[in-house]
Amino acid sequence: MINANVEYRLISYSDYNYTMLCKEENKADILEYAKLQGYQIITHPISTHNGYHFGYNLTEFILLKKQQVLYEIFFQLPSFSLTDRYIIPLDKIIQNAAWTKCRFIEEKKYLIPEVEMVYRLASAIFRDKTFKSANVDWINEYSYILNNDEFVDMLSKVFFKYTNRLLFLIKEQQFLNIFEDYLGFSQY
Amino acid sequence: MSNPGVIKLASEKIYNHNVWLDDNIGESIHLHIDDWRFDFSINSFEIFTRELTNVINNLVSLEDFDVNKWDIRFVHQLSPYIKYISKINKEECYLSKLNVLNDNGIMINLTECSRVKALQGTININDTKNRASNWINETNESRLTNCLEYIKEHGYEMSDNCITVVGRNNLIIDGWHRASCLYYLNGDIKLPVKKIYFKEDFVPLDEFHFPGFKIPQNSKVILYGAGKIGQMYYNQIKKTNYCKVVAWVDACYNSIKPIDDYSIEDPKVIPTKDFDYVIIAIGNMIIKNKVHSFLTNLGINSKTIII
Repeated sequence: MINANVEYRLISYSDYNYTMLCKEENKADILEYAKLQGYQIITHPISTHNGYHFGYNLTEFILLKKQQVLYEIFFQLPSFSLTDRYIIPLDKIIQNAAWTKCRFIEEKKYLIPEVEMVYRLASAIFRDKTFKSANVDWINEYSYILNNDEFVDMLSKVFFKYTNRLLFLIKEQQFLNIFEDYLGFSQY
Repeated sequence: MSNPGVIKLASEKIYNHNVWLDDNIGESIHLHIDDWRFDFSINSFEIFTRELTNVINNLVSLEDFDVNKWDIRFVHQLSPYIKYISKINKEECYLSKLNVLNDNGIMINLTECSRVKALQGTININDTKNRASNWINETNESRLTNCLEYIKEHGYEMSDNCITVVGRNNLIIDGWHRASCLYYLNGDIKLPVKKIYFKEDFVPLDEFHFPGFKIPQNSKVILYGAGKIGQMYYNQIKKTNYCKVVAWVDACYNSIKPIDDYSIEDPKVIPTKDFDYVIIAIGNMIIKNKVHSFLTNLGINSKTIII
């Protein structure tokens, strides 16, 4: 799928699962390529078919399968909402930042760490409602980003006045308390 | 772009306007009225709600009325009718004389309601629809259990928080669970209740609900009155299948179009019908009494006339 000759950013990658961000303008090309190359198009578990609502013009995800490998394609970086079964795109500033630069690892293009950090924090709080150990390890590995102005600016577009509190809790390693703390936040 | 941390706090249609309230965590509270949006900080929203409480108190022209002393869920239920309150009296009443709106929306006697039956162990309360007035994470069972434990420990609070009823039929509008627990623990005792009276030109709340407690289920009924109340009763019956409507009559039958499969007929046909009860679905008490006289003059047994 990476050979489809379209611009992409890998979000996560393992032997049997790829999650990537592509541009919406390339959606038709991707589907055409998938068809020609024998990929199976599968209904994504998070889809309108399965009762989810995609807000603010978020394009539905595509899920492809070939030889037991799943390829999940987003067209904007998504975030779950606290509103049940409601998915929205992250702020436009974050979407733009995802495409402005990329990080190369083994000749594959990934999100820059600043954007990936925002995506991971949003996923941990709104989708998982907890911080899994793999996520905590990654966040700690890239903890230098937490003081980056560009990153903080993007994070504030998701967490608003909770941003500083969130950064404090992360730096204090209080990951287990974050979700409940967020729900109870009232300083706004 | 929207805040992912959005929790819908409330949603209601008020006089044909869509009104809803969102908490956008970290950002602000949004009050939406159709295409308008009002943003509040937490503090300003608290001030706003305090001011609204003052408005409610001012709508009721009773000296010692204070909505802060009422259960907020009950205030919400009563809100469309608050301005019609004329007096609130404390009166004594036997529990068996109280009625409730059962889970299917039909008015039935307290002693036959689902909460009493659940306490007696004859039904599982969680099989009934979860009450919209339950708190978050509160089930019907936990609400009833907590109420029972509270009553066992504290007894019946006879101050401002006593059971509240409305109308000729003593419809409980606040205190169903307490009344059920008290009946379960003590039987048919007499106790003080708060009774709300409405201004004369307002049709009492209990009149909007089919009086199921007055007739056995599966009775054959004739509805007298095809106006607002008659149509409400009909819709409740249709939704619940509590009884069977065998005919529908109205004095103005000539000018009323058929409703569903029912042609609205001349009341004079009533003696020709096979029925168990005639339900007078009219709000105005004077007219209701006149209809009652009319029916008895037609030869209808007054025991079969539900007024």
